[in-house]
Amino acid sequence: MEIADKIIIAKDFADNLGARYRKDGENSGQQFLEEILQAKFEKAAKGNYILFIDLDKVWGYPSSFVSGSFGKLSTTHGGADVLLKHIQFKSDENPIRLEKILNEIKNPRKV
Amino acid sequence: MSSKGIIVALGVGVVFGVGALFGFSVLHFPFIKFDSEVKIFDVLNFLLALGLGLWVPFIIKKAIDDNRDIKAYVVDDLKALIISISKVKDIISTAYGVGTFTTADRDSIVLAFHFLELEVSSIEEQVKISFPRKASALAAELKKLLMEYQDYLTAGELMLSSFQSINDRFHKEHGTEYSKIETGIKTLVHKIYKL
Repeated sequence: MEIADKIIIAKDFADNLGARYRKDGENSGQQFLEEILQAKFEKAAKGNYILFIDLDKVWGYPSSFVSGSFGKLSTTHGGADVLLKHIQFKSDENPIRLEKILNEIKNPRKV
Repeated sequence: MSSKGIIVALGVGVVFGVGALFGFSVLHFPFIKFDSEVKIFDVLNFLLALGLGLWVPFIIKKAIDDNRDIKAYVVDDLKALIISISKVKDIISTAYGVGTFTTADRDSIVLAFHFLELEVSSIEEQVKISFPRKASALAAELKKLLMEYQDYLTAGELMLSSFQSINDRFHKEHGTEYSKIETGIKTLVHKIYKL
């Protein structure tokens, strides 16, 4: 399966990420999910290709943002196996950041 | 014969016996004979024993010193990590004292965790090299401590834009959470010294 689409979070969304829901403030996980992530992921799953997501150049990933975006997508779109089949992450800056996001996809917290 | 006579007779017997033994020893001295010829194998054997005698303690001492230095190096990084984490606590304490918690405070905390993750990642890499058999458990424990503290601060109410001041309850709760990570890292220091 080849990479056919990409999201550079710092460029395509924001470099200072917010909380879980839109009502919590700017640049929330819900906003990222609804405006960018979900549509691109669904296209990747339908077109059977890989969506490449660049996590670098962002100030930090609040746990609530990760939960409200990647965790929520995992809960609503078939879990870790389906998501990780069609998403490939890149985090050259911070390996623990990547680990944290993968952990959220595999074990999404219930909120 | 009276008992006194028996004792005298035994005494005389013992004196004569010791005298005979002493005389025999003098006549046949020395029991150990020294060989004036030296074989090359014996010389090499002696030198090898001498070399091992000097080399083994040196190697053991070096291994002990190296191990102590490596542990000290990792422990220094863990102490530095505690200092870095205390900067997050300082932001909370200052905001509590001032009575307002700003967007800049929130951003500073999010950024601080990015740098804390990098520090933990660096420690993980060092531990993998220094203590490969224990690395996985040590790194997992350290990351768990950091993620729990990070979740407490960035998965809850502090991230809401409506969170604009730190009340007594939050300040107290945060103190407990900070204490958990600080104590956890100090416990790791002891575990590393015991390796």
